[in-house]
Amino acid sequence: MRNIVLFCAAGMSTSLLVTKMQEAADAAGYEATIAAHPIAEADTYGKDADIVLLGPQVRFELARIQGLLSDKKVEAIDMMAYGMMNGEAVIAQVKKALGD
Amino acid sequence: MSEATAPKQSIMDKFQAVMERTIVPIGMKISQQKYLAAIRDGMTVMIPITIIGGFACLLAVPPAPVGLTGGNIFADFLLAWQAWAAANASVLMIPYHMTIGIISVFVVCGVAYQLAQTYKMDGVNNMLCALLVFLCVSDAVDLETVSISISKLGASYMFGAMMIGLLVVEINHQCIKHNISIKLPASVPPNVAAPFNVLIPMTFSVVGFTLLNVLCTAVTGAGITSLVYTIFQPLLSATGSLPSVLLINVIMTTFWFFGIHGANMVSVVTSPITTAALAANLEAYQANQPLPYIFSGAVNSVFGNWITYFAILLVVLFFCKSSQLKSVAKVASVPCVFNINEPMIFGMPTVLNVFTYVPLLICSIINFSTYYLLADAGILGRFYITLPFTVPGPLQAFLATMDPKTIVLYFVLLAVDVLVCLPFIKAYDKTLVEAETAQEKLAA
Repeated sequence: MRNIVLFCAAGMSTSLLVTKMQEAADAAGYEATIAAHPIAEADTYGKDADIVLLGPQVRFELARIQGLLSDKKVEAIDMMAYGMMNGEAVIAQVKKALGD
Repeated sequence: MSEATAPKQSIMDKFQAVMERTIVPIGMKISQQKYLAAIRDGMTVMIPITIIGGFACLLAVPPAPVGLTGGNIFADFLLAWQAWAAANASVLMIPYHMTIGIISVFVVCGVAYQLAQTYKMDGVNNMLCALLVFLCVSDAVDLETVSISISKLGASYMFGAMMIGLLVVEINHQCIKHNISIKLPASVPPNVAAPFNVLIPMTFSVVGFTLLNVLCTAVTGAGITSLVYTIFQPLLSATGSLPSVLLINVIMTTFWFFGIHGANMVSVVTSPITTAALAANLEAYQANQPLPYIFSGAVNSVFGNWITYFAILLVVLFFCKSSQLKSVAKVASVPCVFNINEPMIFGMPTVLNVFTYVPLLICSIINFSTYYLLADAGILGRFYITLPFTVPGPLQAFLATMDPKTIVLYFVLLAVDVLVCLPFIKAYDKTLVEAETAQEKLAA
């Protein structure tokens, strides 16, 4: 079971992606809990994550969040996958990053 | 046209690499400026409080024009509402006075808490410490009647509250950093020791700021929070002027052009200003005074590029043929209605896309200028109610101003934006169609 946490400015647009990612993960039989939150709460919600994904619009926060969650994998989501709300592509990105 | 929009992946990649090296570090610098970030995040916490205060005030003071007489259903409804509100004003106004009326109390807590979080310090202790200091210097205490006057805790003193929130936490931080605390024997349990560690910096802050306030009052005739307001007030007005807001919007659109959250970037500067202006407008509204500020609340988003993104979506839905734009429209339509434009921004994409950047710039200027001039002339209402940002544009314009004419303006501007965007988006669509047919031929 992987815990995937997404952050963007208000946690709104990433929450759209959560549904798509969950569908893609379920279809592929990849066990994961996925949630989206505002980046201001990265401290609280990032603690229990296996991987932290940032919306591309807040990718400038990558260094700060990586510093905050030094033992976690933190990545920005690919822009095109984000724009097209391509859940499969983002799950693929997660799998690759975690080596699953 | 610019090579930035060419569909060739390699050129796009190069541009992306350049922007990651130049624009992203700017964003990083801004986001890592801890004081500005604490103020911005502190303001974000204020949103539910201002929403409640706004609607409580609206309920208690219906938006009925002076001298309104009955006759139609709408007018009768407003009059009945007014009579009901007048009979129950003493109850209805309490949530307003306890939110916007004492907003500085919440601001000092919010800002102090956020900065303490950044320093990984105890949030509650720092928040209480900052609140205590703020109350001590707020001049709100009347010793004769042993009461607190809330008029000293309102919107005008927000900037003083922000400053005190930051300074108090910074003092606590320095004390911890330089190990200034009461040393208790190791045998004392940590839970017993904790309050003592807070005590020294707290005492230092209370005494220091109180003395400073006495000095400030002796020299200027008013306390620290009033002095800060006097200093910041011209800044508030200057930032709210038309050229300044247009500049803010151009910067915001440009950040988005590079795929960076523009509103998030500029809000470190604008959110305290628009929040203070909104609270001041609401204070004026309940006192039956003209609303002082145009640049207030979410005005520059509602009458900014939110309209343009929707216009672009309409153009795509009705006039575009490329499969890329059509498939983006499928995922982007519903979020766009609720002001979530990221699917369009990254899907079309509008990032590094001159075909969308130019009309977005033109429209952001047209949209805001038109609203500003009409509001300035007193023809349109000003923003005094906060709403969740996902409330659709026309509804948000109406609810935030309680002026139905703003809905009309919204749709007029939408039509104008569609006309401005049409040639640009059509041209972009054409390049995509060409690329798609070329690719099909290659595949076939």
